[in-house]
Amino acid sequence: MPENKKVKVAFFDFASCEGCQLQVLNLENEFLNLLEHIEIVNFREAISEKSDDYLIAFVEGSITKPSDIPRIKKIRENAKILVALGACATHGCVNSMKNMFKINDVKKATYGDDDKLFDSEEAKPFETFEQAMPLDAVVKVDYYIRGCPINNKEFLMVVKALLKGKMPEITDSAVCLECQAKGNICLYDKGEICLGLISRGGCDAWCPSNGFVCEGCRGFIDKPNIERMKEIIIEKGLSLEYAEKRLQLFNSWELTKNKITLIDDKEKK
Amino acid sequence: MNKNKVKEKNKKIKNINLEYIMSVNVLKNFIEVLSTKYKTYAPVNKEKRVVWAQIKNFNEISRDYIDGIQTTILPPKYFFFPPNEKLLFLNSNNVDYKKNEQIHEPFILFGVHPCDIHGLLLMDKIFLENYVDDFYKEKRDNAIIIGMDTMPNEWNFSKSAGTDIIDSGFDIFLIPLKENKFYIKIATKKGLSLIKNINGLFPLNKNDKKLLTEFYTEKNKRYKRNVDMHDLPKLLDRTYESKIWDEIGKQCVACTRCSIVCPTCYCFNIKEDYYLNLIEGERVRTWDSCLRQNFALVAGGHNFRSSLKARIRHRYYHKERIFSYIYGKSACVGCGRCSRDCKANIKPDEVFNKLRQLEIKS
Ligand code: SF4
Ligand code: SF4
Ligand code: SF4
Ligand code: SF4
Ligand code: SF4
Repeated sequence: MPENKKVKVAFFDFASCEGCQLQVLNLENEFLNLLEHIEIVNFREAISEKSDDYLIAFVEGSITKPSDIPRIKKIRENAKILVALGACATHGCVNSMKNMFKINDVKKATYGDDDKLFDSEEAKPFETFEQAMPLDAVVKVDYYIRGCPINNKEFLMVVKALLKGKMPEITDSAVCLECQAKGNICLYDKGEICLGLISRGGCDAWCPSNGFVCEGCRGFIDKPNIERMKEIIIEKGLSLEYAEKRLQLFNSWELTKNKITLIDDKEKK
Repeated sequence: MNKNKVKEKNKKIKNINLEYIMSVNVLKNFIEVLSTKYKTYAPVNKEKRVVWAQIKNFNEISRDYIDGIQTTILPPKYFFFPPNEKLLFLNSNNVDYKKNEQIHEPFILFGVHPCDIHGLLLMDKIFLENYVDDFYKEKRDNAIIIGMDTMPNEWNFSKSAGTDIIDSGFDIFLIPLKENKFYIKIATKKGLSLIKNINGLFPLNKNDKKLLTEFYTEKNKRYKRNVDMHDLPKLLDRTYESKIWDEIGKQCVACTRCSIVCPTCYCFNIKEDYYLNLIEGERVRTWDSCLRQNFALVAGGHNFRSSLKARIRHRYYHKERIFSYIYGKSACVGCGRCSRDCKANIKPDEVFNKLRQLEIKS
């Protein structure tokens, strides 16, 4: 393929641990093979050049501060295809845990007495929103590569599909589908609380297959029946408090946005 | 002779019906001999559950399974229609494809329960009748089925479903009896060749026949779940708008487990994945479920069954109504796996009973 026929691709990051970009770099040889079809014009973790000319943008991270807004909007304008890369970008991930608290309490908890520095003029650029948001709260997202961190094989699958001009097959089924298809013993049968019931799969049920409960790192399935999930946990005599904490870990954005709680304030006493 | 008559005749020749009694020790020996010749898969314990695994001797087989306390997590469909199967190799340069030639050798499925054999016969209708699925057929042709009767477990309602008794679909069939004896029936030439060198098979005497009757009396007594399944398609025709579907729709969490563990759910997804050269790739088939949110999503963005109520109702209508109208039989064999694994407590026998009762009341 001639050099100029390569598809231009850019990587960007917002609030995140950059682990998902690292997952891409971890592909090593496969990543090098990929470079026969794509030209990377922006990738802070790997190269120093910068350009606004790209077809596909992979964006990691959540939107957390005012200065993020013009930046992500610019990326959206430049890119023909915008792909949210990883849980921070697709549904807020751990960043959104702060959405459950008042922002001043969060600052206090993080910086102690230094929290008053936020009031100074020099701190203006670091002003943050009350909420950490996924990308699609601000711009249109075309495809979602989920997971904390992403599965880099899924990343490859998406890139290859886009290069072939096909729609990437991203699953919308619960983790249970893949988990049961593997013939795993369900962790509820061992008295554990597994979020796989209402969480989006595509990870080949990675955690339950290794004996750990699913914590929903790929977000919920569409319209999760959390009301019923709560009843199931009560029926099985399991701890709602524990379940709520698990739910909040990766999914506080959706929980706070839709005002979903397992334990009402009344019940909390 | 027309085609059907030939088929009929062949069936008769194939249908051997030899019955014997043997001791558990003879069976043990039989399995040891078989498993040296063929890969032999049987239900074995895994923690507190039962799964299919390759065995070498009788003692590896799950006692719970033989006694009918529980059945396997996945049904036997797993062997013929695996959850993840590479079908074709593609080449987009010459728009060509090559079938994924799998290696096939005869294998034994040991201990398939009557309702699960019924399940396989229904799968045959899907994969072998109108359109023959090579991938399914090749594995099916290579399978030697040794069926085994058992007591019903707490979720099973195969008596109501009419699948507690089986008279075809196996090469050999066993019934565990008291006094450490097993009844053995040989139904095919394949089955006959398997027992050729086995000593210790005796014709049934009066006492054996008594044990056999006792087995069935006990089995019938043990069914805890009974449901009137007559005319179900018509009942469903009349209850499409029933409020019961609203209730069940609220109950279901769309986890899809019911269809994954069901011996007769056959929905699949086809995916294509290209290699890094973007020219060659492969086509893969994976299990799918109608409970999944976008299962009925079509081009243009319309989803025919976006609500949970519509999806769980569809599962029942497909199993009982659509399948019955096409194949003259319900697709639910009453194995109880979905009842066992549905954490939301949705059980088909209870759903049918509710629909029937509501109709009687109103
Ligand atoms: S272990 Fe979790 S993911 Fe697996 S079947 Fe049970 S609930 Fe679903
Ligand atoms: S099982 Fe759940 S927590 Fe684990 S990788 Fe999959 S979606 Fe994430
Ligand atoms: S197993 Fe139960 S909760 Fe899960 S999809 Fe089936 S009916 Fe719904
Ligand atoms: S619907 Fe349920 S009971 Fe009926 S065959 Fe399927 S898994 Fe078994
Ligand atoms: S449509 Fe649903 S119920 Fe019918 S076979 Fe497919 S998954 Fe099973």
